Amino acid sequence: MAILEVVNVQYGFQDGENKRVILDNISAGFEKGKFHAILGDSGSGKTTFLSLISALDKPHGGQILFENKDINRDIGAEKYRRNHIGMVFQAYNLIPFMTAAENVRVAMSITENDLPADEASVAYNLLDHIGITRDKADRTVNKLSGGEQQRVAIARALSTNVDLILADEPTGNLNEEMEAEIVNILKNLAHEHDKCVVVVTHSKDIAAQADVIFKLKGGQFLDE
Amino acid sequence: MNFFKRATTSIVRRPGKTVILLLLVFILGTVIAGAISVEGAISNTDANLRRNMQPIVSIEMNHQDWANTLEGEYFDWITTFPPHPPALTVDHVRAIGALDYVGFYDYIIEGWLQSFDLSPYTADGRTGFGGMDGEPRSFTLRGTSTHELVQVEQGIMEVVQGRQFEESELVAGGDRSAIIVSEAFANYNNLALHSTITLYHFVMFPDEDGELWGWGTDWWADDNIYARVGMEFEIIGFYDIPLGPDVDENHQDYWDRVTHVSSTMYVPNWAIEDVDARREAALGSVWDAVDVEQPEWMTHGPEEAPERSVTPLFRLEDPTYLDDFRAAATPLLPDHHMLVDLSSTFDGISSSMATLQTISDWILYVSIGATLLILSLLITLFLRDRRYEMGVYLALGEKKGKIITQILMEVLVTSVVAITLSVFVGHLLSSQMSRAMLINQLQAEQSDDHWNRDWTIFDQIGIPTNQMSVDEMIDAFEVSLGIETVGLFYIIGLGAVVLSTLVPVVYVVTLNPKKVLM
Repeated sequence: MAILEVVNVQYGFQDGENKRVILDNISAGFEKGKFHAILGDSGSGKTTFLSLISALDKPHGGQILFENKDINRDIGAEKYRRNHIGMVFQAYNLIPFMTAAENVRVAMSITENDLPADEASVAYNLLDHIGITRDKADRTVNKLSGGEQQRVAIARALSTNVDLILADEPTGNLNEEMEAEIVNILKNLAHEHDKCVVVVTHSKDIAAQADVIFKLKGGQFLDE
Repeated sequence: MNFFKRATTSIVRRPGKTVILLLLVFILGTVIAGAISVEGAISNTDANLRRNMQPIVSIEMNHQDWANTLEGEYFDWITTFPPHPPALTVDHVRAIGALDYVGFYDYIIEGWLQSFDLSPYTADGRTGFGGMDGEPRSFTLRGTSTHELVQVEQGIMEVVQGRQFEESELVAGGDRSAIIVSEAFANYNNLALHSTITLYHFVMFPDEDGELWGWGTDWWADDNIYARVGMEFEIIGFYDIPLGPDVDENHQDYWDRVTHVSSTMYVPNWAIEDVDARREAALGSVWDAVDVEQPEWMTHGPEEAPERSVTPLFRLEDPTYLDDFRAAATPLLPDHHMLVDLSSTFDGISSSMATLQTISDWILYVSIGATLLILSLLITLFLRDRRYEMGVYLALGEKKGKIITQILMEVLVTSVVAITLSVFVGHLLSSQMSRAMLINQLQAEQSDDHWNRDWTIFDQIGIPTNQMSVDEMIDAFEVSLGIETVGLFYIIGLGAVVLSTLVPVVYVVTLNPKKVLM
């Protein structure tokens, strides 16, 4: 059963006298325990799609339902982001003057989900589990490699104990070796930890490893 | 890692930006603190001066105002005379004295009487003071309507032996009055308590030219005196005027003492009025006793005699009542009269302080404006630099209110440190600078020497006006770090910082995390 449903979503913008349609009445469902890939070329609207399902933007038509509740109308965008999703960005988007553990704890302090009281231990364990040692966890993030920073970003996304992980080109800035490791981590989250993982990518190699692929072209999902 | 911890982490981990903010707030805060410190100092000084100042008010004729009303009118002083100005009567004084602000009031009628037997005391032992041999000596009589002389009540003089007037002695009647004289005068004339002295108006026969005034032993011969209009006075008390240890002969107080001791005696008002009325009567009748024709000019004059004006004196309950008292008493004044108070003697230092206050006001306004502008720009620039961090907080679902609180805390924690430092530095700098400025201005204004000061109505009635030296004035200039001054500075300083953060906060509120992060 889909934890996240996209129902007839439309999105576009006025470009001078022309109206550009980015997403044209698309629908999709995303389930727990599966690794989903949104595959598309540059300008296909895949990042726009991710911004809509992460409630960083609102659709111009249709609905986005999380556990059958509209994320914007019923839950509220801010609260949805705070309590129901974890996000991983291509550029990591970590807070540079904080350590890896502190970056993870920032997300833990913001969410209203029930978490263990010992915030620091949870952060260290999570980072360790994902391949960041205690020594590296106490370094400010700008002293870590790209792959390590992306692991920290994934740990941050997981730290709030959410079911839905959304990733925007998570390996875009990484070499092939690191790319494989990050993809493995995401697959593992879906398969071993029963998370619903949605990855936006232009890489057919990554998409090939997904359980479900949504190919976005011309504002619509093509049949796969 | 709540917003408070995030704020402190940001302050500690980004020392460069923290130091820039700290230095900027410190510099601007020092200027603001200095200006506020001067404002406080002026307020303190004003309070100090007012504490030193006797809250004494009198009323005097506004001669300029009266002259203005007569402007354009012509009087030949033979057939036409200017009208008498409105008199300040006892009724006016009583009405004003009944105001709640007044703790004590008196009205003073002054007169003079003469004696062939008594001599004025002179501090330096000079003889012949006040006239030649064979001539009578003149003495100033200062009246009162109360049983406690205001000069005693104000500590200007003290009754060293005997007593002051009793209520019964202040009521008009009889041909004998009580009198208080100086101890030095009494000793000089071998007078003890309860001695009686008689003082006179001598009304002389006019000479062949109709002159009623003259000089020399012949003029004052017994057979040239038409009437001795006198009154017997019983000495009930001796007074002395205590002088400070540093008084010397070059000081005004010394000569004041000479004047008072040599000639001034204190009597009830009625005694002066009584003897003056009898003198007027004698001056009117003397022409009937001689063959000399009264000069024509003496017969001219306004038909109605002027009402007798009195010199009032009000001691207010509190120096701070002065402005309210002025507002309440002014409508009760007769036309062309005005209130004068001892504070007018502080005009010099007041203008110096007003200049200082104007400068500090401008510094304060400009520095607050500069703080708002500069801090707004600086914090906006800092936040633009941190837009990814702000975007992350928003993407993680942080409430905008908490992000704004975090920014405010970061700015305020740094600012509190800077402002605390600037309180002391600003205070130190401003106290030195403002004191130096005040000294320069006061010294310039004090260049007029003591003797050139205006003779005021207070000098006339025996209340010496302020004679503070520059040093004493500077001593009164108190730049203190009181709770009010410090509190005001924190309110203004932190208020300016908070206002400066409002513009950058708009930036955070309108920040779109999608545009920043994706």
